[in-house]
Amino acid sequence: MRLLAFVLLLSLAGATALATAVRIAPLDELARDADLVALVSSTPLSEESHWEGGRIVTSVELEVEEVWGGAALTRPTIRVVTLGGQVGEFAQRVDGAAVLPTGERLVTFLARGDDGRYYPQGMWQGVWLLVDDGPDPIVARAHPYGLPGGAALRMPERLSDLKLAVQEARHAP
Amino acid sequence: MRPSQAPGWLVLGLVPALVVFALVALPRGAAAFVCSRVTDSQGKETGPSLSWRTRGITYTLFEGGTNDIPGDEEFAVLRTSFSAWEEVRECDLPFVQSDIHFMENPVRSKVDRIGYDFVNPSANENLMIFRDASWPIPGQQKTVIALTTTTYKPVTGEIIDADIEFNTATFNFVVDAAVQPSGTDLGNAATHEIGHLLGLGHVLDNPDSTMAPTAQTGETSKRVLHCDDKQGLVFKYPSGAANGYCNPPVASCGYCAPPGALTARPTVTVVDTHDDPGGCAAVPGATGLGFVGVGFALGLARRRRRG
Repeated sequence: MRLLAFVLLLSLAGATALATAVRIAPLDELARDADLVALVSSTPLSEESHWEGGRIVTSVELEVEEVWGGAALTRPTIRVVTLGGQVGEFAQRVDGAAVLPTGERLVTFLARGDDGRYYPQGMWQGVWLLVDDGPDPIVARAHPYGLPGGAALRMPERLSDLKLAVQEARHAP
Repeated sequence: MRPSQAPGWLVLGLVPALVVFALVALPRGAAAFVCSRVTDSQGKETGPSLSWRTRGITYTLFEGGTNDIPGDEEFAVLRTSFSAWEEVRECDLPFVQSDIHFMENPVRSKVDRIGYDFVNPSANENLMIFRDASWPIPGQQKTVIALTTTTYKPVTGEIIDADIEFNTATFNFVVDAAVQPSGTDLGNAATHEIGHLLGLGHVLDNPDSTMAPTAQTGETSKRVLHCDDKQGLVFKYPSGAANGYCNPPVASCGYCAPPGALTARPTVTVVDTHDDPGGCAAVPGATGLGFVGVGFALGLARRRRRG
């Protein structure tokens, strides 16, 4: 599966320009605009979906491994909100919304809302999946609703290269 | 000379059988449509296909439209986008078509409600709304062009509401990007989003598809459905036959099997194949051709009753 994902991400690396639902944000824009860029463990410490008005949102508490950009955190965990989820006999889907697959390590580009919670920048574009377990793993944007299993990947980077690029973008004048 | 007419039993019995036969057995081009499905706790799409129970879907325009486009032209574009999904025939099998059709609510909405009001279900509308002032979700303002929020029943996958928002606060929507190529073509975006409203997901292996997730600035090609889009729609909503996700009694009942292998095998239990016309009943291991046999048997039964 990982090999398949790798082949897919290579084949998709040249995907260009705009998505119909979302504009593809360049990495430097994602890094600059994010209030927090962090390597997180996606095993949720807590997770719940609830109604906010007519929308169902899912709020996940994640453990932060390393902050790459943004203000220092006062706690080792953050709460990330994604669109969609299930509450009782109702469920909601938003195509293009970020999905935080459990049991993975992720690089997250997050916007901080007025409510203090974090939201993925550019929906699925703000969640990058570590594709392998090596010392310097490949990391790539994860499109949640693409292939069965949700592993359509694009723009692969080595984790160390991505971190460097993020830090350079955030320090650029 | 008056044209000859087929007997009623023939129409009632054979036509649905032929449609199903065509859908499951005849050689066709490689399918490249994706059905949106109920996701599991990992976010993987392993559950029932998201589909409307009805073939007639009413949408409501939010009053005011957008200031990006003069007059009421944006509403005309949306109507055209909806009609692109109507009377769709398969490219390879033009006698097979979908009977999905749309109706516009004659009263434009003044209620900005995205999602679902479960306290007052009858108040829900499939709303088309332009966000001229600001985009409501943090982290999306600069990147999200349009958004479809689909509410469904997770047990069956039945869609009960779908709303589309257009980010006119950030993006310059135009009526025709062929004329204004620096703009975001409203019809291009709307036709794609309506595909989501119908339960279709993103197609990754065909950039020409309306449901392909990427597009160029000024692109207009998604206004016109590609063969893959048509095939997906006809599979889900075949004219005169049950949805391609539920009831006919095939092993994939509740699931949208083509085009790829399922990531999880459905667990299907035989409940009842006779009494509940809208229910989900299945025979493990039954094949599409088996269902054709059922269709012919139904036709014969009708013929005998009439005889």
